[in-house]
Amino acid sequence: MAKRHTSGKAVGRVPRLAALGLHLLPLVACFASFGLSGCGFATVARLSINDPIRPEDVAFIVPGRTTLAEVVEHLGAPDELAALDEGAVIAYHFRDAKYTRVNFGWPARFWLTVSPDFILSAGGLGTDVFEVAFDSRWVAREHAFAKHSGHASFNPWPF
Amino acid sequence: MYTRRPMVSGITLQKTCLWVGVCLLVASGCAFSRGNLGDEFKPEDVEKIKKGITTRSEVVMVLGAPDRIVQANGHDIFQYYRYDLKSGSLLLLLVNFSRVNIKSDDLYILFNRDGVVEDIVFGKRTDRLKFQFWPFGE
Repeated sequence: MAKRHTSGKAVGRVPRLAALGLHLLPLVACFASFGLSGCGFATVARLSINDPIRPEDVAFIVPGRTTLAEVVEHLGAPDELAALDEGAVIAYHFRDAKYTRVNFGWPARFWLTVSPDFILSAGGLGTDVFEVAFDSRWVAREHAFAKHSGHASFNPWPF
Repeated sequence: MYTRRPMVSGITLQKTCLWVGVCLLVASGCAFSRGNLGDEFKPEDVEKIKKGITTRSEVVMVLGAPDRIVQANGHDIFQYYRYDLKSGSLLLLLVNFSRVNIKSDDLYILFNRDGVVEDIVFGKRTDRLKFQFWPFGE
């Protein structure tokens, strides 16, 4: 991918992702509170941001031929648009977080006076960004998945 | 001619009743919540913006100040975005299932060097946002 041009206008200097992170903080906190709530033997929770884009979804993009309008027609409006030294880049962000928590001490509360906790929990955040770089005529120059961290899984085993 | 009476509807009804009964027995609660960031894009506002006619100041009058301004390929680009969140939780006696879905709407308006709208890119994902509590699958 070509190097991004970071000196946009004043308002554009705030990276979308950073702003997104700030705004989504309370949302993620809510998600965590769901996951960490002490009710029940097990908790399975998931947080999805936008729909994932698969390699087959972007197979239509031909560098040197596909235009911005065609990309938008197939994939919708991007989450981010940034200037490059020559051209521009658009980015589609999608995330998938999975969290599982099992409290093996929970059943003991039915026959003990105290409620002991023995909790195993684990979670993962699958983050992906699909980027398409365009030349000065808004024709696709190259495209790539910027981060492919794999899919998070529902597995409470933390070790 | 003898025709066998279809049993599917009876079986489906039985299964439905069984599942409802099981859910009522084991469910200790459920929760739905919703949140959003930014104002919803009104279709009539977006339709007011015409390529080659509407100016930058008119766009600001209709949609307000943009969330971001980007300069790319000699264009000033106004970006507006909005997030919507839907969350559902099913709290059973043994297991809790919870799912949070977030989607965004994005509107980009590209201006030419004279400050007139050259192109509009609008994507609406939030109309496909669903309340779900089942965390597995897609």
